[in-house]
Amino acid sequence: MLRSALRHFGAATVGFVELDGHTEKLIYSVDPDGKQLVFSDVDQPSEDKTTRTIPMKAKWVVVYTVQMSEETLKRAPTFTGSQTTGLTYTRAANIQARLQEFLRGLGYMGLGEASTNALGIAPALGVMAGLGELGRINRLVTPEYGPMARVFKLVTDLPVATDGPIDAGIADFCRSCKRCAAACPSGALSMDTDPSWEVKGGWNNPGHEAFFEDSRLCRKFQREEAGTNCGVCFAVCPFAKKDESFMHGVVKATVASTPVLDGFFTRMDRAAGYGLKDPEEWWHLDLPEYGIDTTIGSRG
Amino acid sequence: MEWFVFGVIVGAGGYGLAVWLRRTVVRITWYEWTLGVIALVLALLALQNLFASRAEMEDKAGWMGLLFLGLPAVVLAAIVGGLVWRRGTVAQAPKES
Repeated sequence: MLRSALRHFGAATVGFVELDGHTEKLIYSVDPDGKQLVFSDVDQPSEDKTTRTIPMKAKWVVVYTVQMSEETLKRAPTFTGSQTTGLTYTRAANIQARLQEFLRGLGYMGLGEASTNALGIAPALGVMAGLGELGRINRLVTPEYGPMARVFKLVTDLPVATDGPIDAGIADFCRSCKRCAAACPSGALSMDTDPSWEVKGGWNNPGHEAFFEDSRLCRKFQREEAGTNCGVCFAVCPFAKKDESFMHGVVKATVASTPVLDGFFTRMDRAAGYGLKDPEEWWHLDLPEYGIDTTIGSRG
Repeated sequence: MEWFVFGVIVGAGGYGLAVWLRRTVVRITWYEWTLGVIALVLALLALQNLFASRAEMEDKAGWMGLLFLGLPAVVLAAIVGGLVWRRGTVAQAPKES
């Protein structure tokens, strides 16, 4: 029911995580605005100047993605490219408000993100909700949209059937691909073949294996050179595709089961010209609403 | 739309083949049928990929797909055509007395 409602509100894919001793660690202890996030054995949530209190009975997280325009972000690193990211956050705020009202109508609470990227670690919750895998970009890469989706979350006391992590061969593919790291203008992404437990700095969340990025280099490039969000790593990812051609489905199915062909697919992806595109050309395109194909990932 | 066009082409081609088979004395062997069907499937996939890639605004990928799928389709079709034509020539040649 929540999936249907969320897709109607504008979300792309939806998954659910139960908060337990492990997954509770994925909820921030401090929100981006400095307020403490505290779980407490109370009946109703509350908020004051320093603290947001989440009732212990609200132990499920609704995790959902919102599509970015792949065609638009392939104009990175420009204002044209980055506006699809901003648009996604704007749409997500609207979706969250609708989801909260929907839950309230059912008699349950919906404790969403108080600001951008708040409440919890989005990629981690996305992985735990089975929406994708953690890629070399240290962000969620989904089977449906590749990295061309943002992840949002909301805590509720509505009991839901939970999902688990998936293996679509994406993380394995990232070991050999490295297209994103090679294209990264700031050299912030790891070129290592294997993920590591060692973080690059305090900006990384420790306690899991990943291709940790140097966010300082990334942010420096965005602030001092690009003058806007970058997104080149998202744009060149071989999973960032539309789904018109039968070929993408065949490749994804093969990647999920036959990692030995990953290197071949990476070379073919490069040879076929997938990746960054001319920003000027974007103004002459006739893209669908929001620049996205809302039929991708639908359950028919 | 593209599948409608493919359907018309394959349907017309199949009808033509059926008419020709009824009139000719040449018989097509099982392996020629097999190779022919593979060639047809490859050709259809190449065309689907071409049209879809153009819709995706990825022209280069479409042309590459046409090369990698379409070329084997043409080669296989040529082999099948050659085999059938050779046997047809032999079948229609006057027998030596």
